[in-house]
Amino acid sequence: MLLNMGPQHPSTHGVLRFILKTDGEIIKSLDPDVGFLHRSIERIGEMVTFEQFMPYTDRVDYLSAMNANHAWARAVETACGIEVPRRAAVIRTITDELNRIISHLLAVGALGMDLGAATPFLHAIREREKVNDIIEALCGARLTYNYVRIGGVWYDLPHDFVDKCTEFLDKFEPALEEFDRLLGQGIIFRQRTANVAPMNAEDAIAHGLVGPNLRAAGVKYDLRRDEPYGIYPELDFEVPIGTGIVGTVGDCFDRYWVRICEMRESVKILRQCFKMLPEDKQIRAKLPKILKAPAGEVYVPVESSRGEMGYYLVTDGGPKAYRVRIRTGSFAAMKAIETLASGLMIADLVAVIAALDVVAPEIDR
Amino acid sequence: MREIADNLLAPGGLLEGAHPWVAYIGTMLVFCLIVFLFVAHAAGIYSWLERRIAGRIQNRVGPNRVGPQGFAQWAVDGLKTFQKEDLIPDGADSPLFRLAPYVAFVGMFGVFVALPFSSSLVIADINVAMVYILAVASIEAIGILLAGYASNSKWSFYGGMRSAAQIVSYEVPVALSIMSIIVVTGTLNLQDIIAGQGTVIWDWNFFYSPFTALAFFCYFIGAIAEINRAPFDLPEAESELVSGFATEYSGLRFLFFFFAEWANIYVISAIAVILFFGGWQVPGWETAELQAAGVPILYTLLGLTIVGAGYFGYKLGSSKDMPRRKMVTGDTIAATVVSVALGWGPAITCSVLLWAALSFGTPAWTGTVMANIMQVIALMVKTHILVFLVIQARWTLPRLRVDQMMLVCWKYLTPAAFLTIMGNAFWMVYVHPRSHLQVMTRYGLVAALGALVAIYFMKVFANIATTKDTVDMHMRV
Repeated sequence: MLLNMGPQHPSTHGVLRFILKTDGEIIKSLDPDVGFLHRSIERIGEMVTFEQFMPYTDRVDYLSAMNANHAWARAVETACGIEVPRRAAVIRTITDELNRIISHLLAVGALGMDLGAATPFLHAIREREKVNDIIEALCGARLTYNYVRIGGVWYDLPHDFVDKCTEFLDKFEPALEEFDRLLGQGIIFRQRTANVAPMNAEDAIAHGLVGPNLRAAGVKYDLRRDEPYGIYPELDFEVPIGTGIVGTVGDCFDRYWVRICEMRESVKILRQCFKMLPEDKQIRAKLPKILKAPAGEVYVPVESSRGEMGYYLVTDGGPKAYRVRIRTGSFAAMKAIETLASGLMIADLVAVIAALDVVAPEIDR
Repeated sequence: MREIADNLLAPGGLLEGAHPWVAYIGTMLVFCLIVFLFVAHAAGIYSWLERRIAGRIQNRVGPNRVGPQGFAQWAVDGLKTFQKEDLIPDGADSPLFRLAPYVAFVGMFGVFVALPFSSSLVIADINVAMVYILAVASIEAIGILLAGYASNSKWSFYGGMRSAAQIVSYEVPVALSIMSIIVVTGTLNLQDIIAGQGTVIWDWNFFYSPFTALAFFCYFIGAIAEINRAPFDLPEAESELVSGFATEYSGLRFLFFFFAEWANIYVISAIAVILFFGGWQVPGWETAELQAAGVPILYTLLGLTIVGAGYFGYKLGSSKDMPRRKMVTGDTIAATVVSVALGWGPAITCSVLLWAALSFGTPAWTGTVMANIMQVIALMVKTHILVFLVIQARWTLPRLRVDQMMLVCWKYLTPAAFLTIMGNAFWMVYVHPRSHLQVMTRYGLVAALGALVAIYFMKVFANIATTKDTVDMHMRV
């Protein structure tokens, strides 16, 4: 049976469309149809100045806008050779990790909801709201932050930011364990995710999977550790990988589990960052009035919530980019779904989409 | 109800001289109407209850705007759905599409005809009630299958097919575990099954043998699956099949499906209580004792109602946030009506009744009526503990996959249900009712169930203590 799933479907996380060929409940082949959210962001990047492009990067991945901001800022900084003040670097790490926590919370919560458990989702959203409040106090926005600036960040931290964050983290740690008890320890959840759509390390690399999805496949690859940027070399954290604790390596449960572990690591990183905040209040490098990058090309990735998010930037010496290309994690994951889906059931497909944490705007840009 | 019709027909009765059929059908219709009203209210109130409980579980408030604590929400929602356009999709099989919700509804409502509410309150005291219930309850599958087929939507079709597979499969373990109780009680009549269970807790069927206890779990899991409740809500799996069989429905027809779903929560819980937990048996009180104690019960109940309802009405009246709420007039009127109905209404009525009872003495039938009221209360309390469990399960557990759902049924529940029949049969033959083993089993099972409940509460409180998150139930935005 030819089944059209999406673009309006409760579990396509945005506007995705899959054309399924099914035999009863079993999927024979899957054809992803992307492009419903195409907004020409890469083209816009060639038409506006480097600084003006910053708000657009929010929209590339609205669930992890800090990381997207950071990636663009780093791309331009690398092209122009700008040194970021230390305080700004620490603040960027703090916001990145806060953003990673809330992005992963939404990912695992939505996974639960797609499997039919609405409650863990709302527990995750409860914690997410607290971080949103913290970030709102920082930059006034809750979703599309536009906070990172080329050469630094927009504003300094509010005076009570660290206290608020510490208070949140103290509550978040038991809440995360409770969340895991509620969802991840449950037998039905494990039955639904363990051994579902596993992808081994070789295939994952071949598909170009990145981030938590790649690590779930057992590949210990994290840009924060392997190509460190900012203050990450000074931080002490683990890179969790999927070990197939209840099923096979790289199955949906591992993808869930890696994200839970990464949130724990993020908490650790945040606590270290608070200690490292320098007294020096400089948060932005001195930049010329009109920022021009020397001609050349750079590719600068950061470890975003959905893995490597890289900006390929070609400059021609002017104030605008000659070419901007964005490499995102979801696009590769979307392609991986096509391979993983055949032979699964429709209910599993929903779990796979959610476990790979595919975010539609990141695919289409 | 036959006796009542006979009484009405008897010389001096209201319908003396009428054709017997008129009396029988007339009384049946009247009682069906009463039960219909009960079902309508139960289904509506469960929809409100479910949303409130879900709110508590999910750290939010839930509906709290219409009426006290949002109690009138279900009525308002019902009215709203009533006004919606009745859409029939292009290409749908129109007659079947129209018919389907009513078939599903009939499957649910037919069961109520045989469900006893107390020792005298039952519409049709059928001697094969259990078989009747199993047969009639399965009609719902036809309704859902029809809805899935007639909608001309692939998602609905999936929902319908899943539903058919699910209901037909789970019928087996449910029927088998019911069968094991029938083996023990030796009757298919629900009233006899209840009367056969004693008035003390360990006389109930659940505690008869380890196998009846197992049968209860088989029955309850299977019954949850049979009424398509989470974690077995595959036919309407929202994240997979959009809304499954209900995708294309709107308005009143949509309401009828969910009417049936919520009323079914009561049905399965009531059957579980009737079969395993003594039905309307009030712990410690024989029916005859209750009848003898009718007058004191009347006074106690009236007194409790006056105190409770008066307190409730006082709380509502003195509630500070009531007048401050900027509501539309309709809402205000609804809230006032409900608060008077719930709070002061019963208090005043009971006061008048109490005054009447004290001044004029009580009529002879007080004992019977009071005994029945106590039994209804006992049944309701027991049933709603299970209703709460069903609702809590829905908001805690993820959904199973189709193949896992089948696996649970055929690989685990069905053999387990078989085991309960065999086990109970052996138990009846080899364990003497007065033997030490039997007595110890009963006490042991009571203790085990008590331990289970204790663990449940400990876990709940431990979880609450972890996050220390509470919701202010009176929070108004």
